[in-house]
Amino acid sequence: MLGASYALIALGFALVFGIMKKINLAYGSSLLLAASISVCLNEIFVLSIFVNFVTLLIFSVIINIYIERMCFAWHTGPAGILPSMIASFAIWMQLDELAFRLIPDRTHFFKGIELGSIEIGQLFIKIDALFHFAVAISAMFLLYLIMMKSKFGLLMRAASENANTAWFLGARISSLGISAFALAGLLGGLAAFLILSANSQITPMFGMWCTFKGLVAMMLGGVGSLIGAVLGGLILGLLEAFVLFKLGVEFRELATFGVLFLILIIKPGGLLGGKSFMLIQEIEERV
Amino acid sequence: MLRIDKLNFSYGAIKALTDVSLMAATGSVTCILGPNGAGKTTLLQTVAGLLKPSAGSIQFDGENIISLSPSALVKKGIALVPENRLIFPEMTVRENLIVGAYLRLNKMQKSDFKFEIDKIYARFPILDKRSDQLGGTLSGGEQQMLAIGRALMSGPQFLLMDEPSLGLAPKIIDEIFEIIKELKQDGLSVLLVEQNAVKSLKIADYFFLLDQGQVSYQGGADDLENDAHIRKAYLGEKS
Repeated sequence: MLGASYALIALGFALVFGIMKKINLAYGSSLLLAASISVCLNEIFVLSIFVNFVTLLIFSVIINIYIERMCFAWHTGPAGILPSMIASFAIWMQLDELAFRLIPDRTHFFKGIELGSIEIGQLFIKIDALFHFAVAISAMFLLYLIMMKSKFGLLMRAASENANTAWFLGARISSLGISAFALAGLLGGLAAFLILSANSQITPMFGMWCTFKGLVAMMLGGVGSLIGAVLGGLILGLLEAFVLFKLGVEFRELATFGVLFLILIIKPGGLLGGKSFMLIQEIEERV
Repeated sequence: MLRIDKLNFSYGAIKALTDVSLMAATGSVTCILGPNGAGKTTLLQTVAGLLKPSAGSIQFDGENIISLSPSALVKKGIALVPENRLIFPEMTVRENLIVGAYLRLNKMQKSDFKFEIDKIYARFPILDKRSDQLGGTLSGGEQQMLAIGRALMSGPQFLLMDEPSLGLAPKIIDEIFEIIKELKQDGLSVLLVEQNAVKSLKIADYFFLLDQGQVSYQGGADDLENDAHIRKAYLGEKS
């Protein structure tokens, strides 16, 4: 069930990577900070679940736009891959530090959706897990519709194939970059809310955790491919659940990175990522 | 009318354009000839707003357009058909065309849009046939037609074309030049960058030769054909 949420985070990475060919290392931290702000506000004012959810989303979008302006702004900011990545690393530290200040102790209560559970025969199923899964899948479907059917999605895909061409055809590339990050923030915010709801708690490690899961899921599925990101997320979720069930919690991360290691050896671009990987190689050659 | 005055551009220490001045009249095909590395593409990209020149001016219908962004230039009616076509290979032919019309989409009714795209399909029937195919699956000539169609979708008055014959079979090249002729008949102005001097001679009204970033010769098609030096250098004739 967590797989769908992994997929959402991976999508956030893939969206940015697909369009800009750059990795946003501060993504996980942006989700941590947005969640921390929402938790903080809840501790002061005691908000409803819905308000919690909305504040998380809003801050996630704002922080991601901030990251875009600081590290990835097209034609205005640092142009290369390396400067952007290093800048996003710095922002990662900055956001993490802010979040640590907001939720100073290790663990805080996160107010999310709780729906109880049902028993079908011998199976014991948490309804909120099902609900999370349904929401995450719907979000992905919605994203797919936006990307494939809307004018905005069309332009995003055009820019992801060749930003320069989209630029001279008249696309306002800088506002497109902001939109991509805002959308990534929205997806990530939703994923963070679902995951934190499932855990009912948040720790300062959440940002790092998101970055790792998202990156691993994206690399599994195929670098920069949106469908690959979904696939990677679902595989990662299933794999973790399976290992947890069969081998126990201590093997979970081991299995995750083991599988990633294998995939990277067998198919370096990820499962669906042949093309994008070529692009990176091309870019690296030019650099 | 497009008027370029004393345009200078450098890539770092390398001077690509030195005091280039030229004029492209409305309703005509103006051709820039020159060998590789003469600065032809640089010149075209400067006009399209992709590169910012260090000095000089570019005027379009009397207005200085040098500081305008590419999207503002597209709105003014200047569209670029880039070198190597640069279509979107992972998008369908139809989607490629829609991206070309992007700036106009909000102002267009659905029926207008259909009218525009049907106009393109009428001009390039092969694109209609391939409408739902991915751009990358098209042949070179079809891709060139798509690139031209995509530029036309923005409703331009002035078309900048960068080596449309590059890498195409002779028969297809004839077709492309025929299309350029038709575009001119429809009232479009074309600024054409070419290496294929023989073919360009047949369709262009006026020529500029660019050599190492400088205009070395200019004249009408007749002047050019009668100039012994040019015949030798660009038309491959032995004197």
